[in-house]
Amino acid sequence: MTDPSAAALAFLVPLGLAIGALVARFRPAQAWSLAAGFAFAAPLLAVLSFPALSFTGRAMLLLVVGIGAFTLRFSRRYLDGERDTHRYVQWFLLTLTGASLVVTTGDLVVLALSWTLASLSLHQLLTFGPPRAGAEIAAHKKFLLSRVADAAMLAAVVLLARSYGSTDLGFILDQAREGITTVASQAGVLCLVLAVVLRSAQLPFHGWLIQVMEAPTPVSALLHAGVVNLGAYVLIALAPLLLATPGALAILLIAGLSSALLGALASIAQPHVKGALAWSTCAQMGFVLVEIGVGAFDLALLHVLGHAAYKAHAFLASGSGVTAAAYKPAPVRPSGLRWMASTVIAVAIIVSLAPLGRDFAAQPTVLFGSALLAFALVPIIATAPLRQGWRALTPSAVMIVGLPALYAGWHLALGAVVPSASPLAVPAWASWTAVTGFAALLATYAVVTTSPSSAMARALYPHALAGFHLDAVFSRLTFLVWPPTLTPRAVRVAPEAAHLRLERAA
Amino acid sequence: MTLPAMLDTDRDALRADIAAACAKVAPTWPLDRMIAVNPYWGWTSRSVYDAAAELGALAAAPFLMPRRWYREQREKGLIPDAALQLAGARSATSQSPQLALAALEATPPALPRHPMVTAIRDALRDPHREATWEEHVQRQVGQTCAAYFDVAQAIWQPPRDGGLYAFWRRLAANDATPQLLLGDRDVRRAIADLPQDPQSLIAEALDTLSVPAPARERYLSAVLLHIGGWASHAAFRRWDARLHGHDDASIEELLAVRLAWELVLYRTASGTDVPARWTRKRREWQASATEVRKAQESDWMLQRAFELRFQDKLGAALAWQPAFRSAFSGSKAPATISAQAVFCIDVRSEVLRRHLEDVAPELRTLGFAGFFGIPLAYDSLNGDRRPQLPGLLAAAFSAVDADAYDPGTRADASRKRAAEQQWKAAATSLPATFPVVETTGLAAAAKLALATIEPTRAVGDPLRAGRDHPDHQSSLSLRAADGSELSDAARTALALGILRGMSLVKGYAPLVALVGHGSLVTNNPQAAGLACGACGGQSGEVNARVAAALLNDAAVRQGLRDEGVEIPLETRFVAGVHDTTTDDVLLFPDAQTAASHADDIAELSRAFSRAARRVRVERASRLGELPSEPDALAEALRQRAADWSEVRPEWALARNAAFIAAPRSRSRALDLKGRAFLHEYDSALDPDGAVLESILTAPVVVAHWINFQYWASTVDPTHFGSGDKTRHNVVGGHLGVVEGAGGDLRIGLAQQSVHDGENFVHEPMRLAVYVEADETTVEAILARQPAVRNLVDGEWLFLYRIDPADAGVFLRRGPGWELVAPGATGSW
Repeated sequence: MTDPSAAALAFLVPLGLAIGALVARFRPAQAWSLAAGFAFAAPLLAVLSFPALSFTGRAMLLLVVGIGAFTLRFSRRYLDGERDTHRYVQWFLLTLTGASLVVTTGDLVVLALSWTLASLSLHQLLTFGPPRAGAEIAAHKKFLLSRVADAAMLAAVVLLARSYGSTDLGFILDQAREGITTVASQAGVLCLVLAVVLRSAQLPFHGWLIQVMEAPTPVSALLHAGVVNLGAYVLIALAPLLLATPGALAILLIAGLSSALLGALASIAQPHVKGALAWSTCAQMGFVLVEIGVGAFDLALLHVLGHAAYKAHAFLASGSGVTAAAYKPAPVRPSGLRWMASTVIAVAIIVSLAPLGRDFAAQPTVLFGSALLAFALVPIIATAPLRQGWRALTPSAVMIVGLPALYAGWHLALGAVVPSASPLAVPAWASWTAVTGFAALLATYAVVTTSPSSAMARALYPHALAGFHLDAVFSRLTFLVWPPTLTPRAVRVAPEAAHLRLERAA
Repeated sequence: MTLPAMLDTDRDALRADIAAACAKVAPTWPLDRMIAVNPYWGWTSRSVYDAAAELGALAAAPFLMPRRWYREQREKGLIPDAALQLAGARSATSQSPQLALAALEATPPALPRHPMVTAIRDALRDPHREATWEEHVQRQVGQTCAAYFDVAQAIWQPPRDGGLYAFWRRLAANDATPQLLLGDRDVRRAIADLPQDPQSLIAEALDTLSVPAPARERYLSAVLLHIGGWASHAAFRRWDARLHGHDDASIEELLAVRLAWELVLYRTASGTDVPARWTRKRREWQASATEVRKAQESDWMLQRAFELRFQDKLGAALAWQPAFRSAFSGSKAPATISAQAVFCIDVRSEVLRRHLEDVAPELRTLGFAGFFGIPLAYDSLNGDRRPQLPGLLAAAFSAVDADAYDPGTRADASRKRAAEQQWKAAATSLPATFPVVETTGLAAAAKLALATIEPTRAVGDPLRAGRDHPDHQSSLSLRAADGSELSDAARTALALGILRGMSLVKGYAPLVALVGHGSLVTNNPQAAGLACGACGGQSGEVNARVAAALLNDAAVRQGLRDEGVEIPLETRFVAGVHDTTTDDVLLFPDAQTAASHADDIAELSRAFSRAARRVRVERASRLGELPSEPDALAEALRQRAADWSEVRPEWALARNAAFIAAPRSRSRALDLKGRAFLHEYDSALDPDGAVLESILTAPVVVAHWINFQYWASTVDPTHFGSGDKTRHNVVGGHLGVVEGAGGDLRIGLAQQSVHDGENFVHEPMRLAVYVEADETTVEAILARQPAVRNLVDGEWLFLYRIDPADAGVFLRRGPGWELVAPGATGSW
């Protein structure tokens, strides 16, 4: 990345997208055709800029422009009949400009600024269309959090730049790898961690993520697949700094684990499809932070990519499956004994594979990965149909064999290009905490799905459905500290409220 | 349920009020069976004007278009002076056309709204700095209903013992949101102290809020209108239960839930001036509620004039004798008939029939309810059972797909579905979802790419695996609803009813096509709303095939002969399906017909494809940018049907305005612009009026439901439309949609189904029903059928009669008939 001309290649994509945004702004009539052209040219430009990028940067850039292109294409027919769609295109492309800059830049200041650009542009998309109070309140909450995150990021930039005397990330990371840190640089890293937690919709700052589906579906797809995971990317890219800062990984682990566990429970209780998807994003982002917290950077990157593709598709396709849902058969409810037996079998399977993983217990990421795999196999084994002949067992068998194989395969493939943390850098308690957390999640899942009438399930359910009430405090504070300015015509949930406002104004 | 401290008479009166308020709520079918319903159905025992005034007063629900819209129509010449005069002359009020014109320039007074405690408490809050009770209550009740009724979306299914009200109490008593978000510490305790039984709660609430007995029903109605979407889902559960001989009380429980919030917020505000405001607001409201009807008079006159302009033209056109008209237009129908094609009465069929008759004058077309008179449930290959019949009926028959298959194929089908289910369940279980997303998530990138770049074909009927069967032509078998075999006599009776119903008991062509319709679209939660409403929001293919097989059956033919209906041996029935997004028509001849009538079938198919080319051009003008070259246009429409981002694949029944029950010769060669339901009816074959009676009580009611679904979604999208499709969020897997993150269930049609972004495509017009029959027959039916008479007398629709003798057109008004268009035989 030292050759200036090669480094300039990195800016091909953001530049192309920014031009596209300008075209959309000044030539509204051609917004869709030209913008769609740019969005489809972007993946090609992305490939052209590969020489200037790390593996992580390449993967993320392809992801961002790919999700962006598909989602923008989707928007064209979907938003047919909406007013000012050229503005939508403009802000969409600017969001992508910011996001693609974040994953391509080698400079700390550019990174911070482009992240803010993505956030501000996305804000315009969240309130696109006729004024809706729900959309405005959710966007406002996100706006406030993002500005706090901006402040944290600014502090991080200042502290890191002063400590290392440079804003060049390559230089800073080299220094960090050599163990050169100061109190100020470590404080900077902690500020960075805070910014990421705020921007990754982690509890209790997640409320906006659950409520932004007041915006059109493709905006949700863009947000959940292309923007909310930028924080995880930044952490993976700056891994050496995290490793050089005591406490950074621990904070991520705790924040991520609580979001992964509570978010997952909230997600399975949601009766609305987009609500379930949004809570799942909160949980999956938490899971990524857990993976980073235990030093499994390769898996974290894989998770960001896989989750983004899956979630973009899930949102865009969220109008499908109505008939299937109407004829959904009753779920299988294994007995307690069957759950326990399945746990024993799953653990046995994974332990028997342990020799392949060599010095198993010594490697925290392997411990975490194996335990998680074992837990994942439990519900699959527990719900496998035993009494319907061997052919009915095929899907379960494929999953039981396939999941560990895929997991190991990806780990092997990616481990070479995105190195995990050395075992020494991550305290063993981190992995054990994560393992304990997911064991508890498995146990809770077994109880609430198998005996929802049990005292524990009954006590937990109202809170899971309501997302553990964590957003209420934040919302109230928002209203008190910095109330949203709602468009006078904005439709509130009940028409009556609007009516009353008019009454008072008169 | 017990109401302890009440006298028997009080208790009965309260029960009656609750029942009356609940009966006002029309049912809404779930998305997979999204059929059209008149959301005002519960109000139709009163006149449309009473209903409009009452809904306006209770919920500030607009019943008519905004004045701006009428101004535009006036400027476009669609509300001419003549029509206004006529509207004035036929209006029961003292309103004059001049006043209506003056009103066109004035702003109408704001509609009142029944006071609610939630709103009164909000008046004490600053909505800019605080969350509001209205929003919280709506979201909380919506969330409660969603969680209670959902059995498909959430993996964590809560226990629902004790019913909806008990379920709500458990959730609300554990909800810290009132304290954390709204800063009220007392609410949770007040909820814990509520009575355990919903009826006691309702009695206690009305008592505490001191609502006097005469005002109770209206208040309860207003309360239900506040959660109208979920109330209509609960009303559907009751409707469906009663159709099958059970009952369901969740609508009363929902009423108790919303009323409980009123009570709780009233009690927790005891130290404030909320009680005083409540009393005062109610008094003020009672005064203003009586003004609504008067205020709406001008709008009704403008609306009536707008309708009359259309109805007058149509009436005059229908009054022309067919023979005279064809001589005038120069088109002649040949004497020999090559084939007959029976279509659903759906307004979309009119376009296809008109062009079909144009390109193939030797064809005859007929209109009949698209379920072809067989109220059946479809038993799919993998064992799922789906009703395919109008919402007014319960299934009397079943169409079984499995019979034609060997046990192995059947087992494969269920296993395939079980495997899909297993994979999905495993992928979403915890904590498996984390590694599953991690390791397989990237595969979705391929799905994204395929759906975007190569949308190959629209999603077919997910239950219709049988369509791929090599001998699919005759694979469906008709049985009784309980699965038992039908006797020949029962099948003959069914066939006879079908043939009489479509006035086709003689004059058979060698080939008779029964063409159902469906709409292949992708990723559209409201897709069933585009399919055949008479088939319960499904494609009519199954019904058409069962009907064709029935009418080809030798034993049935013999039975029909004994009843005096002689179908020639060479006449064969063939089923077909019209895809209304692409206008492709597919025929499904059975093996015998395919062999014996190959030429007829080929010719009919050619006629269909030639007609379809013209239909597409006619439709394309409203569908936005599309190529004009016919083949490219067909391809573009097929691509749109397969496009997962398409929100307007077709306009479905928008602009519907008329229903004609007459021989096709009456309307043939008229361009009805896809606005009319056409039902074949020949009064000469129906001396006792039995067929007409079934037309007026079933297809006309269904058409009226469609007509008012479009009406209500256009004039009052807040209460009866489902809002913006791009914000739709499916709830309970298939129960319905909410707009955005939560809140009330949104019912009716989306904005995208009635509006093109610039203008309303649907024009609200009450259905004009034209029947060609003599006066005594029609009057006798009206006397026997109070539900139909209510619709006519209450002007929910307009009933016109075409005299079979001289084609004079009469409007039923009050107790009599008024000549509106003299028969045009002699005077020309």
